[in-house]
Amino acid sequence: MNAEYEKQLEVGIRRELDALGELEAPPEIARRVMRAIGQRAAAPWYRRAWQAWPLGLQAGSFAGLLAAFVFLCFGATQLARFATLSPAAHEVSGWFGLASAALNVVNVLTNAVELAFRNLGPTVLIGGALLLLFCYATCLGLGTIYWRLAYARR
Amino acid sequence: MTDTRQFEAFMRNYQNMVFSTAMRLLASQPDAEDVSQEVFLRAYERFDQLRDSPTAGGWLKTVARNLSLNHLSRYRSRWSFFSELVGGGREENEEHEMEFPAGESGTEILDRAERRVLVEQALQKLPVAQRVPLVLFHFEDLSYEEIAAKLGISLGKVKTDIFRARETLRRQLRLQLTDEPI
Repeated sequence: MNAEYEKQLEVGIRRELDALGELEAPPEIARRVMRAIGQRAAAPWYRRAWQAWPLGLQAGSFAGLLAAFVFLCFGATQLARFATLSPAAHEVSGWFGLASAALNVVNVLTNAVELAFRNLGPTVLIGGALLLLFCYATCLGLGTIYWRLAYARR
Repeated sequence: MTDTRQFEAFMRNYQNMVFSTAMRLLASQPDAEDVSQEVFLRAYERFDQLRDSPTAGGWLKTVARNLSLNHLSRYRSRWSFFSELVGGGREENEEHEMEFPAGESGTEILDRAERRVLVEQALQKLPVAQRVPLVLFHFEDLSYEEIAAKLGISLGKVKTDIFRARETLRRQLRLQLTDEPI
């Protein structure tokens, strides 16, 4: 391509496009936006996104969810303890089996970490953490390379 | 003045700019209206920050551009494919040139308003693979590199598409250049 011609072409087209100015928006847009805003404002809080709820309700709902989660976990462990007392308790504890198992796993892991801290020296722990970090960085690097290779621009 | 009234005034100040950005990228009035509506609904959510901000116009323009490109991205793989497949400016040859009486150039016979309408029409008729980079370059002031990064295509393709778009416009508008290619 001729560089001089390209330059002339760019200048010529720029002149035409610069002369355009802005297009006039149809008045319908403003009406549609105001209608949508009115509908949103008129909607009750429970019909809106959680982020748009009043602050008190946001805090309350979050606290409620947290309490429910804690209650579920605590209840599951308590039920497991009384499961042997009656067939009904055994049945109910079965419903919470998964939550109970998850809590047990968390307990075991916590104990293992605590044990490791107590019995292994800080050097071994720091070394282990660095090794994990290195493995993670390697995975990330390899993934990035493969992704870039796969989606390389033609 | 209430918040809603203030927002309405704010919207009227910027609606042409937002609509123009969307319309030139999408070349479809219903789509451009949808995108403009979405832009202003997002602006309303953060109106407290935008109300007196000197960068409100820039924010609106960026959101309009990004939403328009998101809208187009659903079809991007298809138009990238066609753009590369067709190549060589074959698609431009299918376009019809604007009609001017013989012996007179377009600039001479049309007044400015008519000329603007013709240029807008020619712009909207460009294939999407040519129009989008051209609009991003000339109206959004993005560099070739920024356009390539935004559209996820190569720098060479951006330059070729913009050149083809200009060529198509030149032919359609019968622009006279002193150094025309043979």
